[in-house]
Amino acid sequence: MTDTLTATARHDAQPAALLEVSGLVAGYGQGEVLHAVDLSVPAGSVVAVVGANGAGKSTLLRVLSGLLPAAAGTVRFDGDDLASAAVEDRIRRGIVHVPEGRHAVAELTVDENLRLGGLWRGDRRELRADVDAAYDLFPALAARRTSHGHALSGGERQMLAIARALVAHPRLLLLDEPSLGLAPRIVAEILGTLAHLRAERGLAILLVEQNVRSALSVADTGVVLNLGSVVAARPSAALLDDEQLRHAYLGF
Amino acid sequence: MDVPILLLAGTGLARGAIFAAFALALVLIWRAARIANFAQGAMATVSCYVAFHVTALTGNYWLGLAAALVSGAVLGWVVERGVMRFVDRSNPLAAVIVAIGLVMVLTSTLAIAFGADYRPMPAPFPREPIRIGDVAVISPYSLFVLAVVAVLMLALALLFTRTGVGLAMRAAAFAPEVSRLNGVRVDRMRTLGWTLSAAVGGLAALLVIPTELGLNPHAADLLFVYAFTVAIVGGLDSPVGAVVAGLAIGVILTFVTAFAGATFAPIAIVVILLGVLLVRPQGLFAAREARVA
Ligand SMILES: Nc1ncnc2c1ncn2[C@@H]1O[C@H](COP(=O)(O)OP(=O)(O)OP(=O)(O)O)[C@@H](O)[C@H]1O
Ligand SMILES: [Mg+2]
Repeated sequence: MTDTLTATARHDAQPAALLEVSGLVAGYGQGEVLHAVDLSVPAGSVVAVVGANGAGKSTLLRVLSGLLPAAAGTVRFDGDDLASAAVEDRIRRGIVHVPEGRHAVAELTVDENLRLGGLWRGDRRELRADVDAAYDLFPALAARRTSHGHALSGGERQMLAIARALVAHPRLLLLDEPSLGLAPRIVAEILGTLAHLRAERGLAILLVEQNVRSALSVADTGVVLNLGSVVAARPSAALLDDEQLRHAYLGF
Repeated sequence: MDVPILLLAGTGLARGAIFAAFALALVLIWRAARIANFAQGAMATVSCYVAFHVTALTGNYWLGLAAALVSGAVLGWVVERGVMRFVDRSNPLAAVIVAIGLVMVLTSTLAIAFGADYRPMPAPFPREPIRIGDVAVISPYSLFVLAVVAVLMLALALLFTRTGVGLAMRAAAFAPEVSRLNGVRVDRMRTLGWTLSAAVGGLAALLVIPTELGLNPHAADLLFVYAFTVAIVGGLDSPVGAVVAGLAIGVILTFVTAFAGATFAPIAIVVILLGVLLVRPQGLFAAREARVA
């Protein structure tokens, strides 16, 4: 990809993290879900957010992509505070969110779904090349390019959602439970693809996963979220070694 | 009695093409904003007044036609940005009530500014049928209408299937949140939908008026009723449905009028509408259950 060079160059010139969240407060209506969350994602790294059901992991991603407004706190991305920026503008900056639930647009074909991801850049030829690159990464999608979204299997939808996000040239990918309900072989395939992209493009990933072991196995850093607060943020290996923490918050 | 079948069919198709275009305008807004635009007739009539005056001032029909398209687009933009954007979307009745209010404002403004008289609207081509031997075939004006609507349909089809904007508009209509997450500015697509729709509606009304009594603040009322039926029959979600149902209803109405008299046309419309609502309430061409939100 053409932006590999620029991404690494920026990485070298800027030691500060790509994403720097501090004091983030958010919720739904009166109910506060996230209480002063701090978090940082260095460029080109994978950070896993783990925690029990209802801990606020999906809520965190929704606030970071702009789907849900932050009540307080800052979301610094590449040096600028985006806490009040609109979803569409954050995408233009490089934050791309793949929410839980595999959102293929049912009425559009696979090819149209993929093109949707890069429409905002407005460059037809580049878009075609990006979509073709996505087919190379996910050959299963190439075989179904004229199928409509509603005709895809769960795994195909998840691949489509991730492939579409990649067409947007993300610098930071927010992934919510990419493995939910998928066969281990497909999960491995997707995680492998992401590791490849991170190496090749310097893509940073904030990964939310129920499957703590597999998430920590690909992540550099693990962040444990409990009842809307960060209770630990450490290198993945250190997290896995901390038996007390695992028992208390991760249940294994 | 010698029935001019060919002429009736051609006239019916031309009429149906206009219904189809106006119904397509309704479908465009429905898909973009989930609003049944009851103000579309009144908005289109405003465009026709603009066209009428441009043609009167310049003596050029084509400038008037261009003016109808442009003023329709501007009006659509203004209505969406100025009014509809602020309507509570969780209540489906709110937009209908606002649209009906808009009808009153636009219609009475037209009546105050220009009076309620019928003004003869010029047609760019003769409405007398061409004869081959003894047989009346079709009028040049009907041919003109069919050609304009065909070009319009083709342009819209290309827009929606071949361009990025068209893809963004479809995606925004089907799945607004997913579209936003992919960087589509959904609110702009909605504005664009209104703009396009109102331009198409203005053009359709401009085509129908020379075949009726003339320009008047209520000139598009009947067109709205027919086109609304067409849109319901075809499926509010379905552009193809609007075209097919429009042509069919145009032909049926023309034959009913010829054989049974003009008073039976509205009855035929009600029968068709009830029949479709009973058998397939989502419309004949709606692919699946229409999305509500
Ligand atoms: N749309 C909503 N409206 C109101 N409350 C919500 C909404 N979505 C989530 N919540 C609440 O916010 C809290 C955090 O939910 P969230 O979905 O972020 O958890 P999660 O960590 O992603 O859980 P899971 O692992 O089950 O996906 C929960 O208590 C949930 O009930
Ligand atoms: Mg969740």
